[in-house]
Amino acid sequence: MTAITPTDLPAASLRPVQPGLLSRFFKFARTETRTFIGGLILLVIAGLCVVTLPWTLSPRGPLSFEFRNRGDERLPPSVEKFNYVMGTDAVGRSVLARSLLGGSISLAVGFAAAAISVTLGVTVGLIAGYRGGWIDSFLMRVVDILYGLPYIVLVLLFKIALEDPLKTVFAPRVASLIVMFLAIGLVSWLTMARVIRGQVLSIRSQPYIEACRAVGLPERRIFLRHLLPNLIGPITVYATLTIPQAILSESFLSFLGIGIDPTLPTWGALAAENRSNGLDVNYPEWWMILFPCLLLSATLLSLNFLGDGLRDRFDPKKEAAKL
Amino acid sequence: MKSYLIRRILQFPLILAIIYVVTFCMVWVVPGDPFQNSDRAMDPETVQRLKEEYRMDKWYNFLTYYPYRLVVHQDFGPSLRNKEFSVNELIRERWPVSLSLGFIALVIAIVIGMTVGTLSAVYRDGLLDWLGMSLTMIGISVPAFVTAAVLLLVFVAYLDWFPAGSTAVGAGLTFSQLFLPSIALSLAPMAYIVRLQRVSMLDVLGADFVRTARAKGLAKPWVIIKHCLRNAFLPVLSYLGPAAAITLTGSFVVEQVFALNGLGKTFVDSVTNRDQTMILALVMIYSGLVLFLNLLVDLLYGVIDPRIDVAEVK
Amino acid sequence: MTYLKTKIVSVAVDSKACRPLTGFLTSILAVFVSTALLMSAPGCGPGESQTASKVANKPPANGPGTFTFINRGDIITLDLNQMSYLQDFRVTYALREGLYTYKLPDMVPEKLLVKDAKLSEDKRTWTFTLRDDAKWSNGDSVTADDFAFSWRNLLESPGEYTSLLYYIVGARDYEVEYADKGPAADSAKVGIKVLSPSVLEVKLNDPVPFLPDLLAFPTFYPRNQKSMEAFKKTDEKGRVSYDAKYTRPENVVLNGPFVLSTWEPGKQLSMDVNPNYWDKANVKSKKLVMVVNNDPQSAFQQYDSGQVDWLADVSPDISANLKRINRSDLRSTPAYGTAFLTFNCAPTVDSELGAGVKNPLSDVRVRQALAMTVEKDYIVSVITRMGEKVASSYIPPGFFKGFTSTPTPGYDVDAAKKLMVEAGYPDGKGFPRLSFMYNADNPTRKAFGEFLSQSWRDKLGINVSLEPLEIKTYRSRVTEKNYTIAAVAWYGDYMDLSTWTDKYHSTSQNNDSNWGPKEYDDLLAKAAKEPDEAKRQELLQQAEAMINTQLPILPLYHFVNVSLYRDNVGGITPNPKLIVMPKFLEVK
Repeated sequence: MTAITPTDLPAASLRPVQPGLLSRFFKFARTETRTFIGGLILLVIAGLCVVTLPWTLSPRGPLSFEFRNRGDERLPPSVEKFNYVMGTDAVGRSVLARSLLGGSISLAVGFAAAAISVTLGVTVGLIAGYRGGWIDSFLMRVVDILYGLPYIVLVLLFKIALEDPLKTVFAPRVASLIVMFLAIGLVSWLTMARVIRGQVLSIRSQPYIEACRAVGLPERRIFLRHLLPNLIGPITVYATLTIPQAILSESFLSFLGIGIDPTLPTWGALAAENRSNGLDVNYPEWWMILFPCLLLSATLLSLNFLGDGLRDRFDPKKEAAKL
Repeated sequence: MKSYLIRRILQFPLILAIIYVVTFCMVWVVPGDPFQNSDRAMDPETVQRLKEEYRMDKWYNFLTYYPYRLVVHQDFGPSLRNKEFSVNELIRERWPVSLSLGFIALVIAIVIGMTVGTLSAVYRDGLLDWLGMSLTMIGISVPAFVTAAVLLLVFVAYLDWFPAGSTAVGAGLTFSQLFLPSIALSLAPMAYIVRLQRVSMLDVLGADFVRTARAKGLAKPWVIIKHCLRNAFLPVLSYLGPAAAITLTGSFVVEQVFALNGLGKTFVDSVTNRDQTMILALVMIYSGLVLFLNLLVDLLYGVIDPRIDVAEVK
Repeated sequence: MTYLKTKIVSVAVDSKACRPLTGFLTSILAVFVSTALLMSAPGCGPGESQTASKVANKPPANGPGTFTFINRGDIITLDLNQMSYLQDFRVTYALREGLYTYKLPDMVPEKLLVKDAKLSEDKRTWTFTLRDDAKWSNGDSVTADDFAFSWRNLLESPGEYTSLLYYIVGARDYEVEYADKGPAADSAKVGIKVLSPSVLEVKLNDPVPFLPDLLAFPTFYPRNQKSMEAFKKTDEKGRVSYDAKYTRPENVVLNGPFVLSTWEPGKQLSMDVNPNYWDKANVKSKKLVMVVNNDPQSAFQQYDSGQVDWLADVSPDISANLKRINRSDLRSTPAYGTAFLTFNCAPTVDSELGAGVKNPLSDVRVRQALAMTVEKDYIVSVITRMGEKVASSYIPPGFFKGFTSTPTPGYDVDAAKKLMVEAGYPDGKGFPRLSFMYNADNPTRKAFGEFLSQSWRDKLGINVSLEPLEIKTYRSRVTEKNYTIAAVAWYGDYMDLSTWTDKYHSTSQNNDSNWGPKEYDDLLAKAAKEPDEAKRQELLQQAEAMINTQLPILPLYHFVNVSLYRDNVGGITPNPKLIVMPKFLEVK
């Protein structure tokens, strides 16, 4: 039996008790489960897609999104070749490669749309909520009008208007991507604007804001130091919830045939182009639609859970009344 | 408040007029016309004649002649795609389909959404919570055309529980024809309702009066049903407005996959065919609905959170 | 270390942290795995079979004596002036009749409303004597006036097929004059004369041996003027047109085997036997029902469950899979049409290539090089999979006796590379980016577009990007010749070579290629005046040879039409023009 020497004692007992990093992590996982699970799944899938980009984007190589072998068309999943683990599509390309690149592009569309919607929505909502009066009325009626306009016509118009000028600057594939970012982003800021305006309305009536004004703080200072920090909550929540909406909008546009360049895969485009042969009653080539949809739904669910978790954290009471 | 209400209502015609003009301009600018159809080219003079016949040659006709016809005769004009029929006729024939579809879909969405949302809040982070939420959120995690196609495949093709439409002459829509498409349509609003219900239920469950009721000795389910549901329902109510508008006209995918003759499909087809008169008619109806429901929701905001005074003008 | 281990174990054991993950993953996997299992289950999922899977017969969908079918699409119009879609023609064959009809399957024109036809010495004047028992659905007799009225109306209120009347003396001039002056135009100059209520005289510019074939086409069917009076419209110039409402069931007067009973656009159309039809005894079914269903899977379900007796056009995916399982009710017919690419042969295409850039497609060597690097066999066997024949000519073979096409250049990558060097683009250097344009709602065109783009890049080093366009935009771009390469199709309208060769006349508005050498026009002009059949065919053979060698277009394959009907369905005689005479349709 060894004598217990002071150095054997756990160091913790000699220091003030502070939860370690690991136990903080597990506590977070247990209490804010939605955020945790959502974030985890999203990280895993998005990480996989982004990490494999160098291989999926290259024009050659087994994991390339364009690589095809003659005679390997429409193969069901097999374990012999790792890139055929999800089977091949109608022209012999690996579904795995296209799903991975599709993920990167879909998520890019989602994040770009969220970025645009945050910028536009916060600006409009802030100004409308804070200034009030006819500016508020005017801006909110503009939002009403945009809500009332048919979404498809708007997107069609944006595409036609922006496509040609962009094509002169960028390569056609890149141009079609940028057009998609803009077209979806420019229509998704409306809800954000309304929510932010509502938030600003309720913060504005608080006495400390009035005190700021009484002291003579410039408007920009009030916006940046007092209003915005309080808005970070709803902004994060709705930005996270805009991403799945944007990805689904892109899939709807692909379904209608007005999506991005047809050689570029996105989860939505893969689902749309394979919905007929993948779900055929006589000979379903199920692997062509199952895997992209599985990845898509897991990612979107996780994004939604992440958004819900964040919303739980940032005062559910205020958000409950609005969408 | 009253003057605010009156002001908002007076703004309606102006907004609708602006929407009309903007939509018309957008469709006018996009290339293509409703008259040239197949792979065969048409004589430019012929196209011009047709345009003149339907007053599509001069843009200002859409700002004078057609609006006049609309306001005075409530007539949207002939459909430029199906020239034998007028827009009023076509809409009158098709809106019952969209209405029934939308109504059943909303009922399903509310019933299932509220149940799962409540259970989710009560058994927070339990297996029921996660399983229920994941399943009901299919509507916003999987594209609608996939869910509709899978439902068609499984329930019509493989299991044969429902018919694939009907070919009987002059027959109306039966419930068995509407059921599957309604389920497909209900998935998206169901997802939103589930989340809203869960959040507001969580909020209510933490309130003091609930703790009092439990302390008094009332059983948990009774407390939930009698006290909490009523309070938690308000946000869902405020969502129903936009949900109704979206469900009624956003049913394109479902109508396409299940071969139903409704307004959603009509709208997308009219955009594809550049059927100006039909597009304008449907946009007017849709915007009118959305405007009205948005006003309702804005008023409810003021009611729910008394700190907000929507009418306050500085 | 032990601290860490105990912590992890305690978390793992703590079911509260596991539950969410389990719930989440279980739900996703449950839905998808069950669907996948269902699809691989025996009897439900895929399974290739060698023996034909026999399909059981089913009774008529809407009751005995009826015939229900899903048409190619929804009806666009039933107005004869504006009609140009196959589905509209199909219904018109049930509702109206003309001077001649087609005898299937040889497509030989057969007298129908004509009792007797006389041809003058110079072969330019036809005199038709009508049968006297043909009646309209309102009891009136069908007279020569009905034909003259309908044809004149085609000139006064023109549509896509009005050009078929240009063979008649004075027709084109009258059309132009009427558009300008209205009723002041002199209709007496047009070569359509009513000699008596049952005799019609037609004067032609040149001999047209295939006139009976043209007259069997719905454009030349008669209309009852009296019943259309109520719908007459005159514009400020006095030009007459008839509101399309005259074709509605309550207004229209018809002379065919069926009359229009109900019409719900987007849903259904039903027709009942015409009580005044002269050949009523030979009409096989009492009621025809046309159903609209634009979703291929749903349409197939309706057919398979017996709700529909004939599915007129099956989509490529479904037909390819039905072939895999050897369904006995799958019927395939070669169609009278060709799928091809059209090249814009203009010297510059500023809107596409930039100002002043030389259009490589204006050089015939470039076009030939592109043609020689296309593997058409791969396209038909892997991409389209409907059993189409590879096209080595513009005109589909086998329809004209004694006609042989000069084949297009065959597959030869080395020769193609040499041609590109000659044209000044060795290995694709300096070759501007072209765009392959197609309508986005056509997945077949998308598929072979991707294949061709990759082929040309790998073999010739050139960059051809894909440009899917919404259909109306696509149509207007092709008509305005605002493209470089586009995927198009052409179906013959009548059984004569001119329906193919006229398209590439330099003045034809259907000529999308900006290709119009004088020799081609001369050959066509000579052929139009040539009375001897064999010599005329020879001239048109030379004209087609110019197309096949100079390649303003790149023929890919000839279409095949696939339809589904069970063995107890009668009256469908497969023919390349996909014509079905509804009079004979029945479910036995």
